[in-house]
Amino acid sequence: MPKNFSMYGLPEDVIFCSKCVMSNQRPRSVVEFKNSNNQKSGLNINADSSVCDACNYNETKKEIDWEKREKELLELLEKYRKPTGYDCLVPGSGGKDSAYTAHILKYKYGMNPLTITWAPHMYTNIGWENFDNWIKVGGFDNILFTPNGKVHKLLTKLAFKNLLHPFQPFIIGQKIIGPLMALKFDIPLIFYGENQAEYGNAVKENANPKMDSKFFSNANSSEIVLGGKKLSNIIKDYSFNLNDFEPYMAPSLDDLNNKKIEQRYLGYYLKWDPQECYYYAAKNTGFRPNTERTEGSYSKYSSIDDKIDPFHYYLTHIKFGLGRASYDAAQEIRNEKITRDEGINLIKKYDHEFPKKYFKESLEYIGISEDEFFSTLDQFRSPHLWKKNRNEWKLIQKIY
Amino acid sequence: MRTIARIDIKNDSVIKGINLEGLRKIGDPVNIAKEYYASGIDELLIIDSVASLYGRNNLFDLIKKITNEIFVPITLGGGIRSLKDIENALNSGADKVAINSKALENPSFLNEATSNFGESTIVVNIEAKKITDNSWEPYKFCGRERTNYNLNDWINIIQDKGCGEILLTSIDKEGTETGFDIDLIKNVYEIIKKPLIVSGGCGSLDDIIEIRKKFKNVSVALASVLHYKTLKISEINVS
Amino acid sequence: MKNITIVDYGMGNIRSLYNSLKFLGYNPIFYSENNKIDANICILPGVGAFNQAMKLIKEEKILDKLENFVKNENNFLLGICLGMQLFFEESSENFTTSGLGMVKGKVKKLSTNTNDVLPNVGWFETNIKPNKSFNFLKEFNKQKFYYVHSFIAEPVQKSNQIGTSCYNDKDFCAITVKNSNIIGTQFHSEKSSKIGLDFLETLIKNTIN
Repeated sequence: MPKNFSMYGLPEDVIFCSKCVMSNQRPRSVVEFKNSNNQKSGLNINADSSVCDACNYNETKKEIDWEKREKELLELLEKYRKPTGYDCLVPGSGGKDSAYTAHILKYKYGMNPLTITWAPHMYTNIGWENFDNWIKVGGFDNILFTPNGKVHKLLTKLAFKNLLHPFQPFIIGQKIIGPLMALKFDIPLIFYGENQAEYGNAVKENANPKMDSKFFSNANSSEIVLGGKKLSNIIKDYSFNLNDFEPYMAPSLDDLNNKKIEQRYLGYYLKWDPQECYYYAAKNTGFRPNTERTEGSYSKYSSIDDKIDPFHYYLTHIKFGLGRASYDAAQEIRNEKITRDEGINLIKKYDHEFPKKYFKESLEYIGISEDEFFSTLDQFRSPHLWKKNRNEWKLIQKIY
Repeated sequence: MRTIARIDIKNDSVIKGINLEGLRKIGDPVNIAKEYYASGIDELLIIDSVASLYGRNNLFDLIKKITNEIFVPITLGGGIRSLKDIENALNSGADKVAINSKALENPSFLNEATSNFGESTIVVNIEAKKITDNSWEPYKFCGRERTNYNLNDWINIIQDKGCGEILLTSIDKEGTETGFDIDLIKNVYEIIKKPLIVSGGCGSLDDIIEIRKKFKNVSVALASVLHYKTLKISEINVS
Repeated sequence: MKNITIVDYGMGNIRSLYNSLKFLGYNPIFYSENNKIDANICILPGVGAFNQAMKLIKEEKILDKLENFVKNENNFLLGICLGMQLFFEESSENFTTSGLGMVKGKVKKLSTNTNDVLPNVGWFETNIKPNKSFNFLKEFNKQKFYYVHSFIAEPVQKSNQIGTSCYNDKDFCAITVKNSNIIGTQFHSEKSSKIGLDFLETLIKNTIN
């Protein structure tokens, strides 16, 4: 491989945003169930200003007439609000974002949401407590959907080995469960929290309160690729049936259109600040932060319910040079909680931290040995980011 | 019983979290300190909430500003890691320093600190998290990392090594305004031999009165109730 | 602006004292600037251990200067907290050490009962009785001042004690006086908010002849 070769189609030269700490290596969201080659496009950083799309979008947030947006929300909710039965569906885990979304829709705006949860791989204690409190303290009806463990584990393993992206099956399932349940329960309105565009997907996506249908609907099951392997091959090789993969198969666009299922981002209507979601959740749904800081970062309130999370973020550090601290810091810089210098300091301190705490459990879950883990890891180190110095891998093109 | 205002600071802002997480900005530190002084607060507790995280301490300038016009005892905490730090703190105008992470990493530091500056100058800051029904653990780095100590063992160590006062913050209760952590206080009260300041959870005047009734020689440090104006210092002083 | 010397021998929060004097409109000078007591009002502060303080005072050769200073009745010496305790003959803190010996009596621990919480910290009511040389202070009778100490001074003669406070139902010396120009307070007036500032100001004003 040429020295500077970039494995995932991301730019060879790493550029960091001058405002936050994200780099052009940050992958934009892809349609995961069509992801066969792990090729990504990265966060766009403006050539002249050196400012990334997420920061640019963040600036525009200041200009938005939030009163007007709230009016739009009220009008929308007016159309869907029902005196009996569920009038909207809120997919979420009871983490700060979904806690905020469900609670404010129900208790401020008078809607009657059904909450639907795609189960984490392995609940942490704090994750379970927060989930439980969400339902019992926050006060919501909830359906917890746990996918077939055998299938989910296999897909997670395939995703790890083929894409170094063990989180993929989770992401797929999580995106699909909303529309799937909406169809089953005849709930025409689905609310998510924030648009991933806040973090740097195409800025124009933010002007849209709706989720792009490409993410959740699929007409043709033969096109599905899971864990980097064609679904048809998975079925063949592992003796499964097509209906074992029900939760990973997005409903058809036609079905969704016929039932007029709408998906919206609450972050379009209400100004989104993840840390303020934390405060809100702490006050209203019994949300508690993690007991100690999460490995790989300094924060305690973000993504704390799945033991496999730190594992996942460690792998983004390997693939893109961006670990959890980078993600947490970028968000907090944009929301003016920390400065860029502080963010860089935190990245220096925590980004590369190895997820010791649940490492063994995560390996067991995926079903691979430690040796397999490390050798797979090394295959995914793109030469433009990693150099081997004697026996140690060193990240090059760092922010510090 | 003293009523102490606790002011957590990050950069140029007073901040207030919940369970020691979150950096929500409250306002300008000098103005807030002056306001509390004017309202009759007994003492100020000023904590640099990210000093340990960033390995820096830069509140000395702020303390200089505050002590020009505020004449009640001021304790400075956050990132106090050396005798020089203590000296700088006192030279800026602080009367006492609060030490947490450094003491956990090296308890002998407390010997050095007290013999150089006097016992009454040294406050040990403990951030305690409940582990089981009747055991707690002191955390370091502003509630971010575990130490695997047992809280009661730790208290015995610091009282042995030397300290003037103990500041005990309940991580579980702080920022929630749902009442002090009575279980925690009960758990340590018997073994505490130094003036104790309890922090974390105060939500109402009744909470303060409860502490007064149940415990002798215990002072309270208040943050959320004052910052969010749930309680007025004047109300507390006349109660 | 009136000069006031603060004896900065190395122990004590001299910054607060400096700030409060400045706030009141005086010109505080540190002893160490010229190694002289360059004013007719001198303040001896102190936080920490008696033996350590005396060691430093001797090292800095301040002992004689203080003794000479108070010989002149127009000079005025205020001791605060440990500074006040240093006026006495000796203290048992750590090991027995001689003090300045200006006031008859000894300094001892506030309590030997291990169940008693020390230091004594907080705002405590202070009784000030009518007296010969500092009677103007009785307007502060029953006011609360800020204390932080584990040791107390015990003047032998009643006339040397004009103020008391209480610990565990027992009175202890809060203000000691000698002649008309030596006064010491166990409490920190520079840390006692507005009432403390008033106290300082009243004291200083009344000593200016």
